[in-house]
Amino acid sequence: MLKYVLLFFLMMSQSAVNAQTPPALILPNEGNGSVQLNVSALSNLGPETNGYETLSVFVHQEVVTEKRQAVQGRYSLEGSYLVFTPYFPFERGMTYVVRTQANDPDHRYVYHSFQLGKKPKVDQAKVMAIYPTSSELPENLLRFYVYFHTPMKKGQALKYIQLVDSVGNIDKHAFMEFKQELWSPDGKRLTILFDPGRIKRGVSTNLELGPALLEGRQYQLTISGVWQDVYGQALSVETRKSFVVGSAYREEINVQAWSIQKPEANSEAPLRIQFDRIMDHALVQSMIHIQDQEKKQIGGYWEVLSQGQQIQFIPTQKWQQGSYQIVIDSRLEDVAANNLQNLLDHKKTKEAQNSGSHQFINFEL
Amino acid sequence: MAGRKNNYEHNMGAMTNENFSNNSHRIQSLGVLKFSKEGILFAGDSLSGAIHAFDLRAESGSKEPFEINVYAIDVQIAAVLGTSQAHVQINDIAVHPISGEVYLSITRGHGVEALPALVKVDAAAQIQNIDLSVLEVTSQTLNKVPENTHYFALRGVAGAPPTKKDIAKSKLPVRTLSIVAMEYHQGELFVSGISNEEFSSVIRRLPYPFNGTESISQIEMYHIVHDNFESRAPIRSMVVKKIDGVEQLVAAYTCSPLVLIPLDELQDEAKVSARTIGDMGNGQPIDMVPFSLNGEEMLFVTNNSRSPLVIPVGGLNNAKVVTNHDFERGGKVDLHPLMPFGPIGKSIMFTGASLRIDLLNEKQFVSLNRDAETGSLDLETIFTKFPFSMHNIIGEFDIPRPNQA
Repeated sequence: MLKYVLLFFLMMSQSAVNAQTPPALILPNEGNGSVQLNVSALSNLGPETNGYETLSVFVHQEVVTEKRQAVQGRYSLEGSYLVFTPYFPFERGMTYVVRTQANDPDHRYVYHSFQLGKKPKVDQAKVMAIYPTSSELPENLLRFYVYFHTPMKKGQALKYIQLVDSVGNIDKHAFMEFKQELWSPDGKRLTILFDPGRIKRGVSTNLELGPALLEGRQYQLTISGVWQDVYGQALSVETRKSFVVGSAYREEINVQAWSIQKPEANSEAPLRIQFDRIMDHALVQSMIHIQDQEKKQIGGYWEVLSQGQQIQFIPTQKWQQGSYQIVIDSRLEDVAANNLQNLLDHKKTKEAQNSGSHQFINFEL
Repeated sequence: MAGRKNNYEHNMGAMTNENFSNNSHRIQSLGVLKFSKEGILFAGDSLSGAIHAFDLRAESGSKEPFEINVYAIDVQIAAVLGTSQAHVQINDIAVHPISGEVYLSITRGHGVEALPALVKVDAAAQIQNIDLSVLEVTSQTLNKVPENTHYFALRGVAGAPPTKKDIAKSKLPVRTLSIVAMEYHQGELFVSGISNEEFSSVIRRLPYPFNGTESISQIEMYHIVHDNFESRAPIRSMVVKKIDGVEQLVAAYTCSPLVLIPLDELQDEAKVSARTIGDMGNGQPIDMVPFSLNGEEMLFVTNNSRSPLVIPVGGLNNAKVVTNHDFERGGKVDLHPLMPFGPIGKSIMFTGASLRIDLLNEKQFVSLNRDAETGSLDLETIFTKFPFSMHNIIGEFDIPRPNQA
């Protein structure tokens, strides 16, 4: 049960991250490429869908003929994309016209043309960051966030992401396997979840397999360079994150343990909070805010420092003299998914995840 | 029949990547096509030196005769194959004996980028690419195929220097003539072409279903126009007919002898003298299509240099077989009083040029035509009785009298 509550919150936190839409139409850059149409928004796409109706590619002809047939090839559904791969490779020097159906009640046709080698350059596929960034992580770490430069092909993450111990053993059961992987809407951030069953003490998988991470040991999270983005570009290089495992976080988040470094009034200096542990960086933005004495939220944003143990608030305007309040949503989590009211493996309050609940730190400038 | 053991492969055509690569690897080119009456499509692959047999017996279509007219078919095939007209070369056409649909073998692209393709045109004149990766195909590799490094001779017309096109021709490997014409007769495939031997003109006999055996006979014939016994150039087109009471190949050569070869003589390693019975005049035969005209068995023989001939099969009986002893010595071209010679039927009207032709139904041919006026490459249905299209002809009846206008 708790697992699902947790999932719910993961979903919530994802929607909080800046939402971009994945590309609607991906055009090939190489002869053996394919044309890919994002059909997640198309309501009428069922098993009986005629691929040619939804997506077809034509040769731009200078010779006029009495009729014009589309280029023929194979259609497949890959994730949220309808993929058209022609029987014969696209050729350089040719102009192709892609016809798609608009997502409106009339299903009007929309046309785009492309030529190989003339497509606007797509950003290179690469891993941008892996959170938590710290090189020491608690034994009951719940999740990693992997940030990519371009949207990745979905449904194959655990094929390419592995947890390897210091002698090279791969733990194939370290992470939760989901039908739907946990991707941000723009397809560039993946959340990987350690199997909570192995973290929670006394649960069967915990007893059978033991925890995935053991205190005092070293591990690597590896991301294969073979993995491709939606444009068919491989990451090319293997990415490794090495870390050593420290003791588990077994206490709820206690805001009394935080130390605050106040800015000067009439300055734009940041306000810093030193935590006693590594916080979930993604939740910091949405779960902590600062308000003035009129209870008005002040503008600015949080930066995560010191590998997740410290954050600083950069205000958009100068601090004024007066009283301020740091408002902490009780759903804020550390990297082991403990929040202000509960531990991941120990339900303490009856009203779990009460969203109305906040704690406050007051300060004067 | 003494046979030799060759490589042969069978692919059940399940849709897996493995099979796709297998088929793609095996099929390097698709040239001459021939259907069996049951719907097995044989395709000559001169580049890889193999024959592929596609099982299309399950294809069923309209039993009703239908016409197919596709204008600028090379442009339309290019559209389906995602390429330009200049990258589509149509090598042959063949009509499926049950569905009546027209299959075309294609080379898509040029040089090292050339890929084989098979398309069909259905009753609605829609072009469909046949996915070779999912077809059930059996293949047999041929023995004694010419090396890829052996090219055509460089020569110009009558001693004149070679033109650019002559030079281009001299850069083609003779291997492109490994498989020139095919005839299927009673469980055997007859294949004309050339081998890697000095007497290179051969007829191969392959039992079907393929079992890896093949017989190869070397064919020699007397060439009236050249006044020469020839054994290198291949038979261009041929059919099996009963002539003088025995089954014989009726075969046509370039410039353009018509010969008979009794099937009995086509044994493995035999040197066979074909019986020259006629000469159709200068030019290169393309297709020889049997058809029935007013109840009489006929052959429709197309040529890249002249109008088609309609040859009554009955006229080939009791034909005089000729050699160098029957004529004054020396070469003879079209204008020689002896030419054309023998029971070669009649030359008939044809507008434009038929590059490939097959019988579509009892009354109609389907022909890949080069339009005489526009140069357009058209797949057209024409009547066997009047095998031409009317659109380029303006005669008395095209002009209405003023009071009928």
